[in-house]
Amino acid sequence: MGRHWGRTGRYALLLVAAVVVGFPIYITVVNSLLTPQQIAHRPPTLFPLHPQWGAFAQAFTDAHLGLYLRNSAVVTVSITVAELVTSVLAAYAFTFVQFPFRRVLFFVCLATLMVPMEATLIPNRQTIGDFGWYNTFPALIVPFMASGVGVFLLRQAFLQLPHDLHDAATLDGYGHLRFLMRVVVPLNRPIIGAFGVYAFLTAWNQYLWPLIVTDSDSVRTVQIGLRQLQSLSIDQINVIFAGTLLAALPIFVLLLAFQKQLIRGLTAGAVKG
Amino acid sequence: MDARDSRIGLGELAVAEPSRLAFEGVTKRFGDVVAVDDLTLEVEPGESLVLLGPSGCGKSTALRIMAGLETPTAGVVRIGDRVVNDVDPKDRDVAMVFQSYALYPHLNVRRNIEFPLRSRHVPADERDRLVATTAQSLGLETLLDRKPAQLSGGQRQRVALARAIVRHPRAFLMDEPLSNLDARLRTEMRAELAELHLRLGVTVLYVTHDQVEAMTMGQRIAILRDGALQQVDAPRTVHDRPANAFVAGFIGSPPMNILAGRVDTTDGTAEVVVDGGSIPLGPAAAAALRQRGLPDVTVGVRPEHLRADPAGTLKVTVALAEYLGHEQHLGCRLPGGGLLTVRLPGTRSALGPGDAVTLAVEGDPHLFDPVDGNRIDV
Amino acid sequence: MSDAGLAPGAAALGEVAAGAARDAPNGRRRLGRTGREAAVGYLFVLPAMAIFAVFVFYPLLRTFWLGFFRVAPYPTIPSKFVGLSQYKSVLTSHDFWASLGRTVEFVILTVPIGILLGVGLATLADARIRGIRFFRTLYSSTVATSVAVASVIFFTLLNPTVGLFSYWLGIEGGNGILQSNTWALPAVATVTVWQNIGFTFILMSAALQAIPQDLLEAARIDGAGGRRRFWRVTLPLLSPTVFFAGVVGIIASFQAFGQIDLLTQGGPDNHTMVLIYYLYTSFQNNDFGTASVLATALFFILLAVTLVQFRFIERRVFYG
Repeated sequence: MGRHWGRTGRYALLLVAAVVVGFPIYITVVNSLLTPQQIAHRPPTLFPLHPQWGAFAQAFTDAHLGLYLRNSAVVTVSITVAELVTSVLAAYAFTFVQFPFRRVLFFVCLATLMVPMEATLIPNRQTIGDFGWYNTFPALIVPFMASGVGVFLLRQAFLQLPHDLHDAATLDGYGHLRFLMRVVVPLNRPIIGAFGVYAFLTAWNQYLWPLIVTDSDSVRTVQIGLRQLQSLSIDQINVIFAGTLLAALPIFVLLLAFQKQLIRGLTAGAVKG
Repeated sequence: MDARDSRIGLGELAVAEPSRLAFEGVTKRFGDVVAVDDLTLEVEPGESLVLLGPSGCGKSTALRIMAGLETPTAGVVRIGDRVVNDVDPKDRDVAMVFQSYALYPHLNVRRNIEFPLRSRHVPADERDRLVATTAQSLGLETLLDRKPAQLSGGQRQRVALARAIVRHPRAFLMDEPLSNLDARLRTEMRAELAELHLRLGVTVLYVTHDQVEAMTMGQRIAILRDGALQQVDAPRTVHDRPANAFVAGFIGSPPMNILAGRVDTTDGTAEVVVDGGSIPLGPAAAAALRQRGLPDVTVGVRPEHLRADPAGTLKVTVALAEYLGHEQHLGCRLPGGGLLTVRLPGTRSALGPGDAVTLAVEGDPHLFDPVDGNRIDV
Repeated sequence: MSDAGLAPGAAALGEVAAGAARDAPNGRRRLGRTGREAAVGYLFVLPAMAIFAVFVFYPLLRTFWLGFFRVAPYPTIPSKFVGLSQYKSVLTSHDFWASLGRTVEFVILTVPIGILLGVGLATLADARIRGIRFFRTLYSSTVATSVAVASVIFFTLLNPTVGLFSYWLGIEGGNGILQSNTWALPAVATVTVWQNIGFTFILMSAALQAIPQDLLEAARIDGAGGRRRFWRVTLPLLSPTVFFAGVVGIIASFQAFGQIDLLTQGGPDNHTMVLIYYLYTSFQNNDFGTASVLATALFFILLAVTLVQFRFIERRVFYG
């Protein structure tokens, strides 16, 4: 009897929680399929019996969402690839290559975890200006081409590799670069993938930095695009909802495709905070 | 595919001319720690030499110096006639087999074996031929598509060997290659390795801490302690004429009994007085000690040279008795508290804990200088 | 290493010397072996180090430096070195302390509730019952939203004239929640908590799953009921993750910018003017001096929080 009630109670709580957590996204989907008049109608429509798809098209035409998404893709993919490359190289050197000041330099990498981006905002904005990069992709990409989190995480993973493998490869005639590409990277795909997903997510969600180094739609990312979207008038409220959905869609797809890496990346990436 | 059902057939394997390996005054320091101390040692072409010693004695460091994975702090390393101190590991043309096997977990057996060939740009068809021959000779041909994780310990060991053999190196360096195997498999692989060496006729430098392995694998054994060479000789010589008390205690199982004693030549016959009695000396030994002129001496008696004999000279009490089937070990307590091991042949003796026994020593004991531990030659 | 000749026998010594003389390139290569290795090391760390130097360490120091300069109200007039006086005036100003107060308020509104909900949801979903995968996916789903996405959704739903939430709260047509001095900050906090719930849920679920099952079984055999098992076994084993989520949450809340910018812009009447938004506003007003002092303050506050966290990372660095 108690067991039975326990299970029913748990389902009830699960359901309540599901409604609370899921409702904002649900109503966003619903409203994106309604006309502005239907949205303003009271009592409100909670299920779209006659879905209207026009808002999604308008999000592209009126709110330039296609452009924003493209810019975000360019910036995010570039950052992710660059972070992966620089982090893998540095983590490898900190694990397998002997050189003076190796420890010191590793701690320098770790120290970057203690510097929040906000603390360097003002000089960095000036640097971008000095480089003539205002309103360009390099402004959005270059400052994030290296990651202390990445170096730290990947070094931890590389340290787990038996050192004999490196010795064996050295005797077999493999230099550092080939050992890295043929042994270290293939053996660490899971953690590299996890960090990749983490890097992608972080880059995709950037808000403050893109806001201050761009003011032109031609390079602005989708997060800033949402700011423009939000300022659409009330008679286009369905476009706001549709556009928001479209902006979130790539990450939803990513979540479904790389669920495992995402979870690992999020929990591992949490070292940064 | 276990060790049992495979015989290594190496008829087809061509092997490079075996090389001489030499350490000449090699020292390696890590900070304040001297890992290898002025080591001078030669491995003859085609010889199998075992570096033996307790863990931390510097034997693996010496091996890694030969491989080029460590640079010596001082001294000269030679492969063949060539000084290789400045030569990269890959250009030394030596292969190494690791205790952990160091197989690449993401590559299948075939890929693992051909890994060293790929870096040397061996053409594909030649590569395939070499891999096939090597795999066949080690009984691996049915396992080529498996990953290391799908192999047993003995099979992994064999793949590691195949990877070394396929290169036709001028010498093999083996770092405790059998330590990760269970006892039965270790015995089998030991025989296979010995046979492999015989057939290939290659130079082998073999590192182990296991004296049984050393005795069976090495044509000569070099014993290291704290980085310093203690003795290098054929297994029989190392066993029968250990150069010092350390080697004496390290070689042989159960280990040699080492006792502190005083020479007594008062009543005409020479003997060494030890705790629990005395050990008689033959005329040559007596002469050597008399010539040395110092009363203190360290004596060593192998357990198999002790037997229960009412006419014996050592009075002890049995503390424990281990029956091993083919033989029996008695742990005997000396009056002063020390323990003396006696090894008796298989016949079950009636002796048990608490029994008082008189022991006789067969032949001359080993004599060592109590200060530096060196053998006193007779 | 080049003292190779000291120890070996005389014959070998002679040969090394002869070898070096005979084969000069060999001698250079010897130097080169460790040198080449080091070169590879530096080459590999160089890209990351260059980025860190230009975009992390240099600007950090420059931020401190810029705090010494007061920027004139007109762009044509050069800024003036004022030493520590600007640090003093900004850090003792009412605006600074008010923004810091708002930030602390915001942290208190987001972090404990967020963790509580995360642990609660994770515990709730930690059962092998039918359909649990659906609930798990749903609870994790907000990780797919960004701060901006969450903010725009809630901003629209809280719209005073057509927002659904405004209608349900019975304030449609009146003053919106985000325009209320009392409710604006809690509303921003709610959006933040919602947006983070997916992440906290994933974190806590992973931690729950990492708890060895035999510990719970041992507790069950010892006669501990469900509630007791939770308090005596699960929660203590969860506490490192909870601590961790707390530190991460505090840092994230100090950096919370997007939701303020999209929902309230620091208003109404500065009631959501948290430190980071104050910094941004000063920056937008070209008051780089004040902004730099605020950035410095933010840095040291977060440094203190991070150092606590680092004591835990440190273990992983040295013993990992």
